[in-house]
Amino acid sequence: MAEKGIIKKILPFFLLAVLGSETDPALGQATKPAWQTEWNRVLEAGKKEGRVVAAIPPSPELRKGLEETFTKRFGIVLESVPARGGAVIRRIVEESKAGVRYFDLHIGGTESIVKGLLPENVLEPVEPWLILPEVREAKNWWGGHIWIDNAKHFIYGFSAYQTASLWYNSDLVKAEEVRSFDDLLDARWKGKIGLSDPRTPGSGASIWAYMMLIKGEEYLKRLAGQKLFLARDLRLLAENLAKGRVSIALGIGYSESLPFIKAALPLSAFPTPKEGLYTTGGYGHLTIIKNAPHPNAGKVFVNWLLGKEAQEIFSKAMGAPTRRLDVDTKWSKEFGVLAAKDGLTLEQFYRMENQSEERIYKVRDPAALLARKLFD
Amino acid sequence: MAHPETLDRSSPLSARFDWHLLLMSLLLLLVAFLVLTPLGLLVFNSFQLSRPGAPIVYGLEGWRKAFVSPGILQAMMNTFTLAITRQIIALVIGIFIAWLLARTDIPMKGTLELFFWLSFFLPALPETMGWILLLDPKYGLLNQWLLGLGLLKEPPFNIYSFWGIVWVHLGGTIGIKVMLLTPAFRNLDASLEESSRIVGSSAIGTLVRIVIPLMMPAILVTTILGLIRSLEAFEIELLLGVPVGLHVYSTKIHELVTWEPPQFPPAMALSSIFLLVLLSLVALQRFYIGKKIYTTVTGRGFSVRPTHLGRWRYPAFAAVLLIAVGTTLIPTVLLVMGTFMKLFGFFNIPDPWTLDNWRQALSDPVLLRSLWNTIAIGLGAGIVGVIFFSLIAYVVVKSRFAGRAILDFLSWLPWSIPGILLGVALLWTFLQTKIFIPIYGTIYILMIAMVIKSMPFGVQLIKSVLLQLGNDLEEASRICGGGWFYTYRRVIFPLLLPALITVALVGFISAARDISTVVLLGTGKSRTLSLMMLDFAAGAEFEKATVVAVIIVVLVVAAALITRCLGGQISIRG
Repeated sequence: MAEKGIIKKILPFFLLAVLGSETDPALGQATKPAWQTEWNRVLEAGKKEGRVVAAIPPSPELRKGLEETFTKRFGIVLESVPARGGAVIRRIVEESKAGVRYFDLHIGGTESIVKGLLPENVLEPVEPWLILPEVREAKNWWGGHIWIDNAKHFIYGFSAYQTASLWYNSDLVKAEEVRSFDDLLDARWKGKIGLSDPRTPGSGASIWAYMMLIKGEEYLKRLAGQKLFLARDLRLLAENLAKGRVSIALGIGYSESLPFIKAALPLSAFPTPKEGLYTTGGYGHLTIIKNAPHPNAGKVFVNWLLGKEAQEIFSKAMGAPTRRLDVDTKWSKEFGVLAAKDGLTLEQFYRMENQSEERIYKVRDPAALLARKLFD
Repeated sequence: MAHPETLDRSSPLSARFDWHLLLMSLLLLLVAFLVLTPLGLLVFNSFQLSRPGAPIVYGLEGWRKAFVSPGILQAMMNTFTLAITRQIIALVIGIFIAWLLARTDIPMKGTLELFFWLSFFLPALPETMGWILLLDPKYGLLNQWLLGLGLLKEPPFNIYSFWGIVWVHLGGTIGIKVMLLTPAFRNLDASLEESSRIVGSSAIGTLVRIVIPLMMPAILVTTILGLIRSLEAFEIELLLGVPVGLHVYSTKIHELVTWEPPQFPPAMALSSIFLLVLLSLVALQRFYIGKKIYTTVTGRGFSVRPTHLGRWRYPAFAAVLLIAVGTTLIPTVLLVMGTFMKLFGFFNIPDPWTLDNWRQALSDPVLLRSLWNTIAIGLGAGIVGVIFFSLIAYVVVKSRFAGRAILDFLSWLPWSIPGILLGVALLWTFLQTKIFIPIYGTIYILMIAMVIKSMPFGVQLIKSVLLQLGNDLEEASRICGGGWFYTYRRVIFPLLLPALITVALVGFISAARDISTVVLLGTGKSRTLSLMMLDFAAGAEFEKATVVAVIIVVLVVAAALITRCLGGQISIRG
């Protein structure tokens, strides 16, 4: 009898709760966070748009990995356009000026973006495109959110690492023979140092600019006097190092050295010199093109790109370790690449970088000018 | 050039047919638009000095910077000496080989001719890497073998040198000369040579005093085309010259274009030299050809009896075979070998051979699409180009149209723009001309770009063959009641067919191999094999890039064989 009384007292409240949630949608959806609602809307709209167009760095492994995985996961076609920064940047700008909307976003190195895209006012802020908490929340990223541009809106850096840029032929040179950049000026290395041509954008320009930053102009003039073997093709430079045509090479990196390392050829990276090595994001920078033709599909892609799965693909394909804390990057050490999150402090990263907007204009530009003066 | 008075009554293109005049005027306007728009935009932008995003400023600073930049005079000298050296060598050898293939009883002509076509098809990067493998001063296989014989103390060959660059270029340069000259040599009535032999001249004497002067239009066109292309060449120079400080004009232009931001004003200023050289060469050509007559095919019958070489038959064959093997077979073997190596050129690593390169390239999901796009663009550019170029050439040679000299001059102009700048110029053209916007990003825009690029070659080759055709052939057709279209279809077209096929094929090859234009105008959907190759090369996956290069070569060889079956070997029957 007492139980029946309790049930009679509870029942109205129970019915009210059930009916209330059935009749009032707001009550039912209040359990869903706002980002989820937005994500569902974007995903549905993105599927209707059907595709997203992204300019990406030239890498077949990256292209295949991104296109296949993204399309399989979301049913949205990723149309990737692999190209070196300069060419595709020029195209994006000209298309924007002509009102042709083709590209949704660009992923690449900073110099071409900072000098080619940023000043032309063709970029949109990235942050509004970040929806998923795993991507949006700074705590998931080593160093929080890192921006390349001074305004901290337009160029998002998702990779951060330090790459071994000084390599040697271990049949001809011992690791301890070069412990500092000063050792490169030794007369015995005259005619035996190869350098990725610093007059064109790339790793050669990066190491050259770093040497200018830490050692100054006079050092570079003396280095130029070592009868350097300049090469614009990094694969050729790595090959010349493996064959012993040069004993030391500056500017080759992960992609070029990997095949030789796998073939057990005597290519090795010098231990980090006492002056350190430059830090970089390599190609790991994201920009959104203004008035993107597929904004929703683009947002789906961006949130996937900056998530764990795509960051693993990008890191492995490009040898550019991500800043995401939930992605393992320790494997990269074997190939002379140290992920920033595996061995550097944030202060060290910022001190040794030469890829931000500020460093591009204050360090890289003067360094490139000096290279042209010395080698032209 | 044809004498206009001989076309007075019979020509379908004399002034009384206003609609013909209208069509020719429209043709002139179309060519002017397609050629002058990109050139004009380049020239205009060469005075635009502002940095990206800054207010527009015009001035001469770009031009000044171009011509006072350090090393530019030396680069200019290197360019001209390299170009002239290899053109002279290739011309002498090319004329001789074309004569042997077209006019003598040398055995295996078809096979030998195909070898030389193949040498033109080979892509520059893998070919150069192959020669580096053989002729690197320190590690080249040939150098090592020769040093191993104990007869030499120093390696005899150094690929990183002036002569190394000339050598690597020679294959393609001789190849194109043989490709262009052989059809023209075939269109020579043997009775002219026989007359020379009757009065006591030797075979070589006949070649020098009869054949070569009659072939002058074709030889001049081939020389000009070759010289202009040589001046613009930079891929091989980039690999072999830059490491030893040997710069050429185009590597300087390439450098300027790869600056951040690209330095178009000085780059365009430097390329204006090509325009000056082209204008001078074209003027020389027109002056030389002038009012002379180069008719070799008339209505009076045609003899195709080959010149008998006698005891020189097999030595000549051996010499041509040696050149073909040296310039074609060796690089082709190295190219194919590279596709099966883990690391090209490294024979002493564990398990140096692999099928992985082929597996990965063939399983790439974009391969089929890229192959289809390449074929479509190549075919489109080849077919449209042939129709377009033959129309232009016909108007220039056979009509009395007042604007034919301008039309002829305009058809040369696309080659006054170096390839590395033409892509940008075409990008500007297509984006700033509303009529192109609906097809922007499709394969059709790429076809149009390729047609513009190959216009000088196509028009000039067809023109040189048209100059060989006497007007009496058309007149005879008219007298028998044939209209213009009937005459063109039944008389002119069969005689032009070998040249048209060569033009279509070269158009196809250019489209298949082009990178500088496709990278700026192509999309993910219109991606070609050349872009796929660039993808692999830029990612330092050289071996997979050579797999794609081999696929391109196979595609092009298949196209060449098909065209030869369809009528590439058609020559005039006596």
